[in-house]
Amino acid sequence: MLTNHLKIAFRALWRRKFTTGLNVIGLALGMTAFFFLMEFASFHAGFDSFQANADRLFRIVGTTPEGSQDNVSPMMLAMRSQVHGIEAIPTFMTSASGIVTYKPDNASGASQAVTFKEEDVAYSNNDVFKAFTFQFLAGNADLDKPNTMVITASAAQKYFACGENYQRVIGKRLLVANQFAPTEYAVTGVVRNLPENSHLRGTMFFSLQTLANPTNLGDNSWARLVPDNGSAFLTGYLLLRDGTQASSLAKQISELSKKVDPSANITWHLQPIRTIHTGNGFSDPLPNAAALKYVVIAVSIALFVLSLAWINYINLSTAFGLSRAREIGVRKTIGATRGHLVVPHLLECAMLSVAALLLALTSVELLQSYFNSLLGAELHLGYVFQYGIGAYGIGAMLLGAILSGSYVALVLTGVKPIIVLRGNFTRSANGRFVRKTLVIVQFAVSIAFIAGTLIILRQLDFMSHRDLGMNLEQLLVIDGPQIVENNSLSGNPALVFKQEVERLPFVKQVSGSQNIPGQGYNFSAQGIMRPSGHSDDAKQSYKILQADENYFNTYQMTFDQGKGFQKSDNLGGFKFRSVVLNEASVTQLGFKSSSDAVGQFIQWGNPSEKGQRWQICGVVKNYHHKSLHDAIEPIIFLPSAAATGYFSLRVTIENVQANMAVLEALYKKILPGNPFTARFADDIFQKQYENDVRIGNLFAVFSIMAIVIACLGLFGLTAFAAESRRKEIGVRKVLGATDASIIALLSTEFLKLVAIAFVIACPTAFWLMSVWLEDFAYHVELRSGFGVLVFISSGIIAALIAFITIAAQARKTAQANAIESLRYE
Amino acid sequence: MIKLRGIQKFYRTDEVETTALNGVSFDIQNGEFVAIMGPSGCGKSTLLNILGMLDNPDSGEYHFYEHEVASYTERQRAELRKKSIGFVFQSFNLIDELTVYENVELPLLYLGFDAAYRKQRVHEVLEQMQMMHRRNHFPQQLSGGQQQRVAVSRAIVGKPLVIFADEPTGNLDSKNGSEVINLLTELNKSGSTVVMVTHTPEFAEYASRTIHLFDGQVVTENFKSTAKAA
Repeated sequence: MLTNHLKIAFRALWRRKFTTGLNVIGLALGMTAFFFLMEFASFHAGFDSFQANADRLFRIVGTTPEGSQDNVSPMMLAMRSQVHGIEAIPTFMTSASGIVTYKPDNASGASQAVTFKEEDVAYSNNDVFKAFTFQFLAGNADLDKPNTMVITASAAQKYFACGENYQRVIGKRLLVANQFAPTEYAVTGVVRNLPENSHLRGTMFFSLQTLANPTNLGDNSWARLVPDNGSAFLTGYLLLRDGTQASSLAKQISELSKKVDPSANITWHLQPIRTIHTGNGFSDPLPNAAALKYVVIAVSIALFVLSLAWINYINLSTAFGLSRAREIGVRKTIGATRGHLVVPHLLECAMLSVAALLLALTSVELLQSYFNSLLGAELHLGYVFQYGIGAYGIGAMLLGAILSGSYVALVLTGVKPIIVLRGNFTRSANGRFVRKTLVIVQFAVSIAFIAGTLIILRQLDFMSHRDLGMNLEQLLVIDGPQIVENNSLSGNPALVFKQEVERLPFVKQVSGSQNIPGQGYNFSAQGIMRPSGHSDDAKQSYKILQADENYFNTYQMTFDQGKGFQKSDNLGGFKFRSVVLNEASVTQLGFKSSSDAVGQFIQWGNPSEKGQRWQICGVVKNYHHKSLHDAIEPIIFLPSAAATGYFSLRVTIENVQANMAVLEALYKKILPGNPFTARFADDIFQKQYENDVRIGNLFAVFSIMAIVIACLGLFGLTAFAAESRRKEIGVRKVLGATDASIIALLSTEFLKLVAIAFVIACPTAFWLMSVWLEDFAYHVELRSGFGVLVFISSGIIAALIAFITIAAQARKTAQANAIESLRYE
Repeated sequence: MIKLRGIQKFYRTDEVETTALNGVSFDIQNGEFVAIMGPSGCGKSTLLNILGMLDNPDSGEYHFYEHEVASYTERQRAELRKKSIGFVFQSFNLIDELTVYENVELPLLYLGFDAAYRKQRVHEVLEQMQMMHRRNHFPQQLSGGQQQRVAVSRAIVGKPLVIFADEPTGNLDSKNGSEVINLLTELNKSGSTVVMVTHTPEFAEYASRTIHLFDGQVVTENFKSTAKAA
């Protein structure tokens, strides 16, 4: 019976190639979009699920009553003996980036050394390897001993060209030059690269214990490891013993914290590691994407697009299925029960779904690299099937298939044989209503997608064209050196490099600074206020940036009042005569205006107790130091002629490549051992919008998919409407109707639905996109002419596409010979 | 044995009520070949639908053998119809997706017969109808006459008590029409009860009795001692 049913279902589908084709393509499109989006969602939602101890592993996060967040703990190591239920305390210090060099034993000169700048590196203790899942390819972790390190396979290959023979790497030594004193570390273990979906990044883990030796710290005594306490700059995790309650443990830690430092009012929480990636973003240096919003967006779009495809299936099947009413009537007449009839229809639906699924999986396979490049990610289908969210997604897909298949089967098999055989079977008003509603839903979603895409594109355009208050064009940024051998006769080689660069004919201006626009500041500071200020003012936070006297000119910033500082304004070390503020600082400090501020003094801490007192020499107009996501923050610029973290060069536009080669040669000559990295300032700034551009791409692609699916459905429904009104159209033509009037007749009905969809879509899209735009401190205004224009254009685009789809089909009917139509009846 | 007494059927729209059958009464004996004739709209098809249990009368009695069908639910009628009645339609109503063999097999499937019996019985009927050589063809590959022969095969394959034929020659040319009438006559001779609606007096002559309907009422009943020879 089943093979019989299958055979018949196949023949039925084959005979109606047009609808079958529309159905399969529509469903496959929906499923393809669904799979891509679920890959994205599962990837982010499944972060850290690969960790074997994920259920027992937590990050320690502290919050203060003022709302500031902290996840470092000076009493981290004290917990081991004083808090019960802890199995391991994996600890990191991430401020470790620097230059790593391998000098082979037989190498006589530095030219044979292998040197790279490493960003993803950290100091850690040995508990890290007990608690987190690492796969050792060679050796093991021995990080409780100083001067040892564990590296990943990629790092091993990069420095030692060891191929797959990782054992060869064990015992090799790497020299690390970062903010601490240059120190050598011996490799004790090689681990497999961390998976893409690990919140923990890193290619090298240096023994934290090394920093217990003060000679290894250089000038950074702040990082000293205090026995039993650790240092104040650690990021901590806890691996709990089996059966330990995280909440009760957090309470113990908070109590201990009060004991250790009664003045600190910090509440400690344990954050499950699985929620770190998608959970609350804490201001910690570990990557923390706060991606939950994007997961929700992706899953919603996935379900929407898939629903559109099922709606199509329902619409097309019920519409065209009515032409099968005769067959069902006949079957019923000769004895079929509803059960007999439902099964073949469900089988048809199953076969369609399987065909669409195969097509979708093939498309995903073929388009994966394109999708990945759109998102800048390394996704694959495996993610969908790996984690929980994917299973729910697949469940939703199956449910959709079953529900829509059953609905179609029940509608189609519900016909009464007598009505069919009497020959006066027409489309039921009920079915028409359902189909119309579904078309409205489809177009509402499509219009919302189009509007969303237009708004995102406009916001991206707005961001890239907004006057930033500085000029980033033709501005080249070279990373400053990390290895500086200060014993040269001519002075600090980094400054020598700056002087040499200034002399180059293609360089118009040069500035050295400790950080740059689009990237960040030196640090944040509290306790800065006017001498006459209120004590509460000290709670305000300021961004501090150290730069040389050319910074403002080179970036072409404008002074509102006063002028920039002089070289001599730096009194040596961390002492300053004058500073520059931006307008936001002027306001926050409580000055009436920039002119009111210039010449005045501000202080950091109490000047009588090692605090500082600075005169304001100028106020620079507000500029966007960070992306338009962030409001302009109060910045205080401190003069530092020795600021060599980054060199910013205003260059001429000609011969960029040749000039770059000149710069590189000069850099390598004066600053040997440091890798040369040069980027354009506007690229650095635009990089901040990478995620936004990806979301824009995602929306564009899926709105195209949504509208294509909706149009496939509309195309089919128009074909059906044309078919069932064939006689009417024939009569109208005999009576003198033109082709155009017939096209209008068929189009109007559907365009009315698009109009209703428009009315529904506008407020929904308005609300959703307003929420999205809230993420930007500076954004396009939806309650404006632009907003109106976006929504009207979205409606027009949808209506136009709908009209073209309908008209293509209606034209065929309109041009058919009227006599044929009448004879047909 | 079929007995109709005072059968009435009305069609109602919002404003108009049309009487399709108005007190129709007659009997049909086992083995009879009855033709129902009358002008368009006189209620022939409505009567056949009620006889075929596709529709219920609004009033009156309908005895089908020992069953009082008028009071049956749709499900009961469907069950009885499946076992006892074979239909032949003017437009053949074969299922396009099924081959000749599968079309004929369909009623046996719904009656729940096993595969071996179905095969044997379908072969038997197709042999009888001389359609065996076409068993793997699809309906659209056959001529009208052949399609109607398949339809007749399908009507008789379940060995029904009665065959109802609604203008079975309406879509056929005279040659094919005659062939179908001959088939029905043969079936009648071999013991089947046949009730046929027709417009064509010539074909009605093959029946042993002709019932004439006009405006929903039986106006005459012509009995023949012997029906026209096939």
